[in-house]
Amino acid sequence: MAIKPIKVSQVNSYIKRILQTDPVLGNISVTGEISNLKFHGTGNVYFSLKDNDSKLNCFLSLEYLKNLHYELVDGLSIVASGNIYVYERGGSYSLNVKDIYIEGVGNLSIAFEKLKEKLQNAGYFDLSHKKMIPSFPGKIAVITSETGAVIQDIIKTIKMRNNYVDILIFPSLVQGKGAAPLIAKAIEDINQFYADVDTIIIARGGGSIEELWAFNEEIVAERIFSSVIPIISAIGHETDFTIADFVADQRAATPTAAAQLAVPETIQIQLYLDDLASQTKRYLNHKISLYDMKLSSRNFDALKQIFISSIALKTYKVEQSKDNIHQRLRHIIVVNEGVLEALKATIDGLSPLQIMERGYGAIINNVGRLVRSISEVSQGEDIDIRLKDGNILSTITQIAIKE
Amino acid sequence: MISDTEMTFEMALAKLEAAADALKKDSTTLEEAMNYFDEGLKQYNYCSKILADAKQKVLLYEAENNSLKEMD
Repeated sequence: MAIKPIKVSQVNSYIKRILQTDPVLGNISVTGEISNLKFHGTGNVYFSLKDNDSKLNCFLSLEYLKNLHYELVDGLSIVASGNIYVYERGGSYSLNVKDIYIEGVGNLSIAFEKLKEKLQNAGYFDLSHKKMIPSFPGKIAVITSETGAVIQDIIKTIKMRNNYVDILIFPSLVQGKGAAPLIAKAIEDINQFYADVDTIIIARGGGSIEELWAFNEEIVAERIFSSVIPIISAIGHETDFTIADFVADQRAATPTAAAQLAVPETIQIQLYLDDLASQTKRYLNHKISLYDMKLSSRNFDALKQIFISSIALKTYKVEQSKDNIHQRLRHIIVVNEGVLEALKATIDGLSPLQIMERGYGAIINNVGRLVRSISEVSQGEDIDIRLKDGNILSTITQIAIKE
Repeated sequence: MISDTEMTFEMALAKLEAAADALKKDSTTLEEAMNYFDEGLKQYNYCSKILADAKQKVLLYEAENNSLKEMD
């Protein structure tokens, strides 16, 4: 027998009480495929989970969306955990989702591609956002598992190459649900409290896509993107690419390669320093010899000028002197010609031949000398009397002294 | 202005590189060149000293007290 009719709101209220006190519906995990995915302006997400025969409305609040490990997309098979919630006014119920888990490589790949596309469109992978890895770092921070081979490989590699870079190890979970928030926090902490770190290495050894998943989560991508300190990623094996690798400023194939990229070899630095020092020395010497050359060339030019002008001056003087000499010589010649003429007339007048012309003669003794006085001759001596037209050879018979 | 004691290896190296570059330029006068050379030599010695005096540390971050502890 039916009870008496009750109001719609009473029915819904009753159903709500039944459903929301049920222990199974209060904490339930449901597998299904996402459909009708809608991101509401408030940040809440609405979608349906469906299988071949049925569908279930789902609600994901912004609060839980932030902690989600995957990017959601229609067609993705997920496991959604939460509780059944009844909306009294609408008379409907839905799954209030608190966490989502994805299983299977296929599904994970879909989520991976979805996030990759989203971040790509947001510019997270743009080369213009990539920061330069410092060439000569003083401090390297390493975010990785405290235990295991990875951290040992990195320390060993850095120490082998370089003896001055400090290594700061930030231990973190690198797989499992808690890993991504810890990795994200480590990046944030280093940027905030250890700003003198030059480069951050984020590393993890090889593993399955599930094991590497933390590095495909948006929260890690976001922190890598917003890090002021350059980040090198080395996640998994050489063939594994995670979202973190795409966002990082530099991707290394292995943790060892990351260490090699992060720090230079001390010996190479010293060689580089030595080269720079010898360059400065060489350039200075080059500069000095250049100036030296300039200086001497200027000196030579100056000397040449002085030399040339002094030659010109001397040439001029020589020319002038030459003219003077010519004039003076000519003058001397003219003067002397007159003197010569006069002398000739005098000489002509004095010539013995002229005197002989007038009837005078000269007495030459037997040794050929002109006789000027009777004292120069003696009686009986032969003498030669010269006249204008010949000689008379005679003998002295008498010498008389003038009274 | 950063004093010499605060100067990092990278900053000193950058100065050394700048000195070498400046010396290369034709426009640099001899007097400037001598100054750059002195500067370069100073930075070279500074960098070499950092390398020679290197005391590498490996530190472990402890999240509970947000501090670094020396390893080994």
